[in-house]
Amino acid sequence: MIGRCLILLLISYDSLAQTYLGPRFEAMGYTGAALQGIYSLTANPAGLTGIEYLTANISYQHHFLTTDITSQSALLGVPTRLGIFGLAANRYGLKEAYDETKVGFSFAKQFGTRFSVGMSAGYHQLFIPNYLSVSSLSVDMGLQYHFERGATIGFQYTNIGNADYGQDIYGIIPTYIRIGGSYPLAQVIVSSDVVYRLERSLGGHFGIEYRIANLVCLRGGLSINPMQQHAGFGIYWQRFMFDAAATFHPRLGTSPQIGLCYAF
Amino acid sequence: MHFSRYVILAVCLLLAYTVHAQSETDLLVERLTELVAEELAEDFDFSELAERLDFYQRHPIDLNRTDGRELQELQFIPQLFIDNLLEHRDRSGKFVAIYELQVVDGLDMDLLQLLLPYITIGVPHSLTNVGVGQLLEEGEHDLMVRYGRTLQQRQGYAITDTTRSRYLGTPHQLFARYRYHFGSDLQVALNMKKDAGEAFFDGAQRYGFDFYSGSLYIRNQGRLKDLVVGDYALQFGQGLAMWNGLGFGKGSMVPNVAKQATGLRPYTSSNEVLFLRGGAATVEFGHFSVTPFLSWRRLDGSVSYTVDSTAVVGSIGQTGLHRTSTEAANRGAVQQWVYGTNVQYQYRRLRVGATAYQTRLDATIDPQALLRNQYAFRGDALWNASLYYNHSWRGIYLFGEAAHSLGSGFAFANGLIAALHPHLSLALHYRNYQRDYHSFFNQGMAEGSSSSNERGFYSGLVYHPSRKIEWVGYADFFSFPWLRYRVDAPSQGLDLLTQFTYTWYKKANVSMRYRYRQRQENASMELPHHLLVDVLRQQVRVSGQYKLNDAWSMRSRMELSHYQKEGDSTEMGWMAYHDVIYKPMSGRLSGNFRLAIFGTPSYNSRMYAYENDVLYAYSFPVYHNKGIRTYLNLRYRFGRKTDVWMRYATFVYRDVDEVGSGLDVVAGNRRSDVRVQLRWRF
Repeated sequence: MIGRCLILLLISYDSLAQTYLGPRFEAMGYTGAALQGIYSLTANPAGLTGIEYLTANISYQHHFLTTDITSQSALLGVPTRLGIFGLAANRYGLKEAYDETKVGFSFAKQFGTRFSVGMSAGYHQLFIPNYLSVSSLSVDMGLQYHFERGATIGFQYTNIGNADYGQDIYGIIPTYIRIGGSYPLAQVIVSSDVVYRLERSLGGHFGIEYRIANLVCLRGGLSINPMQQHAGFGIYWQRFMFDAAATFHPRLGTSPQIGLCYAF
Repeated sequence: MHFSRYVILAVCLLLAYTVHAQSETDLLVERLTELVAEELAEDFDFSELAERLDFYQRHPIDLNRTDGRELQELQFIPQLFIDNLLEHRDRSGKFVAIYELQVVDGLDMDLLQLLLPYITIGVPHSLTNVGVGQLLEEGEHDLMVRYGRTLQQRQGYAITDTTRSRYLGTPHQLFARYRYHFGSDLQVALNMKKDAGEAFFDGAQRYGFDFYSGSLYIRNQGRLKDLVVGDYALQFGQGLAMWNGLGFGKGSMVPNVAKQATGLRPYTSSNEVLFLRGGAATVEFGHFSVTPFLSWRRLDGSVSYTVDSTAVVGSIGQTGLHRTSTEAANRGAVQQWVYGTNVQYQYRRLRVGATAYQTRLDATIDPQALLRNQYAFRGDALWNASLYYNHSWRGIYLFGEAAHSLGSGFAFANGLIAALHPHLSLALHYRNYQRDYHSFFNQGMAEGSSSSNERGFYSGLVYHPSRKIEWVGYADFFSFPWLRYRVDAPSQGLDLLTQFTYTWYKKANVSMRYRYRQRQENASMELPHHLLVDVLRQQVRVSGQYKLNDAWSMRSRMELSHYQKEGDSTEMGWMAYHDVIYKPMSGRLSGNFRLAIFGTPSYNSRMYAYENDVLYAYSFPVYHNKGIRTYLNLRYRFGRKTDVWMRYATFVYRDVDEVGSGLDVVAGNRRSDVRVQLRWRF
């Protein structure tokens, strides 16, 4: 069973590991370049400037096909006078067979009311028991510009130096550029990203979030190349935020994710 | 803000009264039908909708009297707005003037402009005290006769060898249509049709025309809401169990994924299948309405007999053509009885209904023993039952239906249309039709040809930030759990469409569209095993129209079509056309003209384009191969009562020796059609 999962995990690697995003962004069609909040630690670090309070998050995701492939992540955003600091830890893999961990440190700062910048440094480790254990370092950066009516455009360059685990290793650290826009319409936020991956493939993402009475958010989205549908919801209760999301791949199936945030 | 909105609305109301929006009606009809049309036969009669729109233009719907059903019939008004309008009337009393519409939620100026020709504020009336003399004197009669033919001879007429398959009749097409209206509540309709190749007063058609259809329709008489004797169409719920006549679905009108059932209506189209014949009535008891129906018809089919002399038929004919000796022999060979009842409960914005009916045939349906037919219907009787609902609540319209064919499968469809913001609406639709769900009259939203063997999720958005800009987009993911024709395994696909339209008010508009479709099909190459491959179709279209002045307007389109099937060569087709439309506000002569050029490597990259025709008729012919298409329609009015239409249309192909296939082959590179239509109103 583990062997079969491992093969599936490896062949479907392209559509899985490279684009881990928090549940809110996952539900909004894997968009995030022009969105803000704690989940920006999994997307455009410049979006971290949207955090007003110290915020912690944990998320858990089951991947397509089988419940054995999972992701776990823990995020922490700390607003200070200097700017916003972020810590992110994310593990992806199959129990006792394949383990990929990333620990990142981010810093984001807003300049004036319009412009924000973010940087991240990440430590990656790939561990396959009885086979290999390698590590690497990567750097990400992001920009966001906010227009008068709340519209935002974002730019994100992930893995600037094109770091990898070494030539002989199958595991990759994805390198991509994302350009996105988001636009608020009363209770609605519409968001759209275009992503260019280093292996010269282009993808499109589209998402929408509808907020009902500051209590519940309904979200949906669509990804193009690979073609996937996304849906999810969020519940806001006092200082807690609970987010649930699912990605529907027409052939591989469903991968659900849940996340819990607490703002201190 | 609100004040300025009202001022603009009021100005629009005044302006819209003075403008006859013919080209808007064309656009509307095209938007509603174009994607549906691609799945239908080329000679499909779409006149039902055009005739209905024309009727309501002459007999506008009284907003103080309607219970919403007439508004539903127009097909372009969202149910949410209809519900808002009725609630406003309940709360604020009857409308005094049309200007009051501007306070009803959900009305934007585009909708208003479309709506105005079809509505009025009037006084109620009834047929109770109307005498026969008055019926004869005050009623409107409308007689229309149409003649058409292909100028070139098709091969089917040239064959003289009586042992071979050939057309037994003449190449003339004849259509006669009579309508009698008394107000908007009494209608008598009669249609008679002879298709090209069918005999006339001879052979299988010894009583003259091949197809006769007639109905008497009375409505809004106290408890009796509708009564039809003759040919009728029923539409309930989302069309999973019972839907006759034309249905719409996916298209650039995103909210149309919620089907608007019109209940019982007379059948006035000349399509020879998909209707019921007999009698039906809708009677209202408070919040309940009950529609019992009974139908007996003869259908086409190739009947054979088993050893124990049971009549067996492979499938029911769907074309309505009876030109060759085989088609003539199959004509009316199977008898079909349908009987059942619909009950609907309506309270304010909630409607819940149930339908149950039986379909019985005098021959057993027994399709070929192929793997793909494993779950197809077999037998001579079928019970169907369905439950449906729709409800609107604070900008959200919910709808759905669950249907069951007794002894076999289920079908479900559920969806919602939500106004997330005054400028943004969302449509979602989930369907799950089991492979063994059967109904003779289903037309639920589906990618396949019927609501069976399909699962899919549709999501669409409409963004309308101002009256100038409209953006629509949808994504439809679907799968077919069982085999289909030319697909030897369970398969899946998707359909994406996005369209951006910019409108210069009353002057011009331009729209750009991209559509991406992917499906799976059997591989073309010979392989030792069955293999499915992806088939991709992409469409890019830029179209626009421009109004030069009150009489002249122009329409243009450029379109590219890309076809790609794994293992086959990739194809790219293109088309461009220009239309000139002349329609003066007054004057006896009007007309339109098209010149189109197109080039496609094969049928795979074919394109469809809306074509104007003589009144009520319009079509979506296929453009493929290389060549030119041109047509000219002219209308001349002899006074107020008589109109004449003429049409000449031709395809001229390049580098071909014959056009068409089978018995329809025409020698040479040209196929031309003429039509003459005469209408007399008295």
